[in-house]
Amino acid sequence: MASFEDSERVKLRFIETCERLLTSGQLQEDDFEQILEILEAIDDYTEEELYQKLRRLTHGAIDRFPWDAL
Amino acid sequence: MNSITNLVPRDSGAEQRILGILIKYPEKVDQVIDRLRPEHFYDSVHRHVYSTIVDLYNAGGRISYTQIYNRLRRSSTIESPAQMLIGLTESFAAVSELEPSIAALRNKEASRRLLRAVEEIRSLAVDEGDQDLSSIQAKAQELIFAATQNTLQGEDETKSLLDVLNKCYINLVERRQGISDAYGLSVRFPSIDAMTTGLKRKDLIILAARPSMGKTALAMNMVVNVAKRHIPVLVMSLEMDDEQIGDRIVLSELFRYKEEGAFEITSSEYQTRLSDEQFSKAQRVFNELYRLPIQIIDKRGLSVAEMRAKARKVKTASPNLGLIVIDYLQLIKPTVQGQRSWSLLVGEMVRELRDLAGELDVPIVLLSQLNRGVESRENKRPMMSDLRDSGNIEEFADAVVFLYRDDYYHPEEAVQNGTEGQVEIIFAKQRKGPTGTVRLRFVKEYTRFIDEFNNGEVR
Repeated sequence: MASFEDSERVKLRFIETCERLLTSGQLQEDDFEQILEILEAIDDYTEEELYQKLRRLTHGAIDRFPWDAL
Repeated sequence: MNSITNLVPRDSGAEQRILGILIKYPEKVDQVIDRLRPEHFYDSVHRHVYSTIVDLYNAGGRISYTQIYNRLRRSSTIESPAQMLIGLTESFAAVSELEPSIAALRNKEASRRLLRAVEEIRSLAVDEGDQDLSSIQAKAQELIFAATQNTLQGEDETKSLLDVLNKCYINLVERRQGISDAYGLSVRFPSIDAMTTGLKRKDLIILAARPSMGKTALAMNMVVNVAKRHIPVLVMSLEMDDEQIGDRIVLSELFRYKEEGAFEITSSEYQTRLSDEQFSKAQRVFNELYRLPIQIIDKRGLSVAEMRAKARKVKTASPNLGLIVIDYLQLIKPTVQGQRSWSLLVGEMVRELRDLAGELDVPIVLLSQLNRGVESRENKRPMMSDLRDSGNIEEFADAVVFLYRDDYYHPEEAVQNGTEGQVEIIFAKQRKGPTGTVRLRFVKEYTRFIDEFNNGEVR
């Protein structure tokens, strides 16, 4: 159960960071809403669905992410 | 008063633990929802989060921090919902901590309620000190009662059939062994008892009639009959004073000497001067009556709230209080007149008295006048529509009983037919029994009813 608690804390920290970006104008309201939507259902998405959601959110920038380097 | 406001009973840790557990184990909401209301949470943010959890749960949605965050963000009631929720994640607790935390919150909330009542009573006494003292005392009792009564509300109100049947079985055995009355409270008029199987606890019984039909007399006869079995009775008389009631009780008992010729004590003799022998007999009656557990409140213009406060007091002093008689409905003072119609106010008072019967677990017999509509009909037997200002009296009452004396309207015929003094007790409504009519004889000069017919027409 520790993973539930940890993952919820991580999500909230991430949301808090996004809130700050939103306040400073570095993140659009629509994008923030999308982030919240993804976080909410993240456990229900397949890997492919998640990737498509992130692609839409990042306007395709995720394709340029060096996944192989991870 | 600062010492009170600075020390508001609260348990922030317990509030956080409950919220943490509910978010982590949403299925536990079922266990909590009927026992904790938002106001059980002292911290306004916690209260808001709890309401959000309940809303999400009721909407069938899943409960997560993100969902809660979304809701809180949209409502804009909390400055930084994420930060607040992060704080809450520090309170992740084991499920086993749920029950003790609920108990802690309920205790703290009950204490806060008590403190609020104290504050209100204080301002009542200080700011409204020039008001009638009994009215302030009644309000104070109301406040204290409300502050203490709800403590148990929300406990498991579901009863298994096994528990219910157990109680029914015990009652059955007690009735069989003669420990308790047959089902309800017997008023020792066999015809009436046969119709009602006894007055039921929590029931409101309306006893209505036109003036001079004998409704107060019948009610007082019932009171004495009940009290003779050592069952405490409370009489609230808004019309007659204590001495009038006392005299009526004595007089109805003096009826026993009616057949004793020279020793008979008539109403006029009782009210003037008795012979030595008569006085000795009257003394005997007084000695018998002294012991009866009858409490009388004779105050005009009582409101339902005041009656409730007084009845609660009597019930506390006599937990086995068996019957309350109120004489009569139309003399009860409405609490707030406002723009509402008299009929609505009367309906409201009747509903409150029915609730009081339920709360005190005792039958209440409420006497009522009938409107003049009866007089304009050829058949003057009362009907439901004759309940003056009836509103929804009929709806709220568990039983409606009318008295009708034919000899009042047709005295000569009654003499010819031998029905003089015959009173029809018309059971127009009984939630737990049949409707129909039974007959008693009313000996007016003794304000005494006799059950000599005992041939109820039950349908």
